[in-house]
Amino acid sequence: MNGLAGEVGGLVYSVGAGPRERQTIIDLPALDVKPGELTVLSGPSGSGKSTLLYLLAGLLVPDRGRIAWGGEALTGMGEARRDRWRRENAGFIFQNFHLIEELSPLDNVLMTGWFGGFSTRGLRSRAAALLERFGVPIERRRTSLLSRGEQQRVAIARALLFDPSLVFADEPTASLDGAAGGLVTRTLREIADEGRTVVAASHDPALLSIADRTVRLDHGRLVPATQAEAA
Amino acid sequence: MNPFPLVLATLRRNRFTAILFVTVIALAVALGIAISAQERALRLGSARAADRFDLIVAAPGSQNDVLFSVVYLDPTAVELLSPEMTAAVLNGGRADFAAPIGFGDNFNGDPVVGTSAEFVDHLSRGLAEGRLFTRLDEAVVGALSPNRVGDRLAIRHGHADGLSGNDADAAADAHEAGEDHVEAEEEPGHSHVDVAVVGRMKPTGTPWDRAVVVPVEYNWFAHGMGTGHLPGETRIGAPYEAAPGVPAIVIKPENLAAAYGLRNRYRTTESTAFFPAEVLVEIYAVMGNVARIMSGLTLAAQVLVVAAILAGILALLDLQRQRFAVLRALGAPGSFVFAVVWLYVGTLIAGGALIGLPLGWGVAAIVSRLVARETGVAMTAQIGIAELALVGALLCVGFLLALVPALLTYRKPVVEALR
Amino acid sequence: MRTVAFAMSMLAATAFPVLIASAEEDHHEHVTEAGGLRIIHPWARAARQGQNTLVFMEIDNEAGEDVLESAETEAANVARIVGVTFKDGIAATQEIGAIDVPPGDFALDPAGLAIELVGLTETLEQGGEFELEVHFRNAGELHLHVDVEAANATQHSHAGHSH
Repeated sequence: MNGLAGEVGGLVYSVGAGPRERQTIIDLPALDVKPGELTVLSGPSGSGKSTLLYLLAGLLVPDRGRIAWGGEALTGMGEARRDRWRRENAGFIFQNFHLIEELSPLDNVLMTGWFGGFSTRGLRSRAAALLERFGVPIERRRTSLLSRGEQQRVAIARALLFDPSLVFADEPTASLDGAAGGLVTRTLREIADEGRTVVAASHDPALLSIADRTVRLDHGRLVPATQAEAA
Repeated sequence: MNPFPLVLATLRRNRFTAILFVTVIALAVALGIAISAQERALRLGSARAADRFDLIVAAPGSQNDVLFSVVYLDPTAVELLSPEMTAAVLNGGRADFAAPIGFGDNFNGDPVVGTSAEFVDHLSRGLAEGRLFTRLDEAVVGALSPNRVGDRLAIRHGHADGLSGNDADAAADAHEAGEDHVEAEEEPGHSHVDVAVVGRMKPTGTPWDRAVVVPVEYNWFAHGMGTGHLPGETRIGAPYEAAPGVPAIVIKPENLAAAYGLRNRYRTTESTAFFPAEVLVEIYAVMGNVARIMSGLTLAAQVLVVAAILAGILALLDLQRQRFAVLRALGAPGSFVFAVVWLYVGTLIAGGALIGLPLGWGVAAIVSRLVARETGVAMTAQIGIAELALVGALLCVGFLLALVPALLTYRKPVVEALR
Repeated sequence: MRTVAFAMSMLAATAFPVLIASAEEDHHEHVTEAGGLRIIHPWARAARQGQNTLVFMEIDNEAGEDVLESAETEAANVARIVGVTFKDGIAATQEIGAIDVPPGDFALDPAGLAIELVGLTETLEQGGEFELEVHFRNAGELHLHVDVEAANATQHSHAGHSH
């Protein structure tokens, strides 16, 4: 598994309608994400870590600057191409899991297979294997009856269905209690160890402690590394 | 691309609201179907009922009134043809038969109508039971009449000229015996004359099915107009040597050319002649206009319903916007989300339309049965091409309209919905 | 004075035949007559080229029994004598062939007999007119000017005024 390396340069992202309401959320001259590492974006609430995550995943388009993964520039791609890029290269994990309750856990994992553009051969057995790996009982039909921890692990399985080289996680443990959160943290570590590039936005100390690298943000700007390590 | 599991999941999510929408759509569709099917049933039923009355000759006046009296036995006061005109028409030739029609009485609420045995045979296309009348005091009943072959019916008459029922009875016997004159008994009020039921008609799909059909001579005699034949004549049926004026005569022309010829011949200052269809067509035109107005109103109501449902669906979809945003975040192309929403809305509309079709038919069937019972005109509502076209058009419009929420959802910015 | 009078009478003499002729022309449009048989107000429903239409008229037969045998016109490929029939409330036509025209009034009207023009060679518009020839066995050939009424008309627009 070869994780992708990320390069960010001159990234600026702002929101707001007119010139007076315009607010700069992200102002990042440079950032490198090493391949195969677990990188955590941290910072207080409102620091822009989630926004940066979405920018890195191609879900938001910056005002200016460059974002590239494995040498391929996301900035400059049209929406359809970015969707396709995400489908082929990335998995996504959310704070609130965002599973489809009306589908079984297995179908939830299979879901990205329905988007088209991929062969679906062998997907079912792969999905079952992933669920088993992450300790979610497949016989459980009702997703709503799973524990919160189990639901997040189904989400992780869903993210990994097509064996992506990049995984994004937005506050993956924020809705979980200590034990469940710890399990998810360890799982993220595992999948990074398999060679994937994992980028997570989080303020969970457990996740920060096992990260290969922490990127600290404050009001959309990088806090220099020395200060972060000191903290 | 396989949007179907997600379409099903979305339908299951707000299950009861979805069922409500489908029900409302079904009801709106059913209304439109019922109106269309019922109007056609009425038109076909009434046209078929009038089918056996080839050409009707009557005194000048409202052809509608004559038609309704003769075919639908809906009594209205109609003018009588003069005896001279009556004789001319009855003996006019170019016809298989010319049958006089007489009204005026009823038996237990069912109409008693007088005509020739020939016409009864023609109307019924042969009897179901028994035989045609051959005597003044015999009768044939309609297919749905509660009276049975072998019954003796005591028919009450009103008399303007003092000839009482008993007199008529005695007169009938005298007529049989060949006497031409009977002493009238002075008996005030009404009394009965018995007729014997000797046959039953097959169903005609008209109010004649509940009627008691007597020889027209009986009708004339019971109302003091003589027997229509010469004194001493005992037979009933054509030729009617001494017919009084009658309200209507039904003619079966010997061929098509004769039909038009006779119709033209009897359109004079003293008579009118028409094919039931030509009068019905005018009625249908009015009916058609009414139906069109009702359809227009229904369509307006349906558009309102669809608009309201669409608004409701948009609200539902808005509740689910986070779900669609997640799909996009996970890499679903815009076309996939579009397809899911479009199929979701389309399924609701199609479900409603496909349930509305049989529902509308059911309503029309019930209404038809009620109307048939009221008027005596047989009619059955059926799903025809018109109704299928209506549903087809609705499905097309529905799937087109479903594009709106699909477009709106697919264009929503992803990240805002995610947070 | 005498010159003026002479001129006036010459003028009148020349004008008179013109006036007479135009009166007959005007009359000619509505009534056509031959051998005691008069045809009044022939009219047809408007229709487009290629479609069919029906021609109606009133016949006043003061000669004896006659037979309307056939008709022809340049306005259509075929002209035939038909009867209007109704099936389940929809109008259709049935060819009848020659029809007897007894003495007296005889009508071709929208619920009865008509001359059907099959395959119009030109579009007939309301307000226009065209020519039709009808053949009677005894009265012979009559040359008619047929008025074109609305496509859903049920009678001639001048119906009710007598000649």
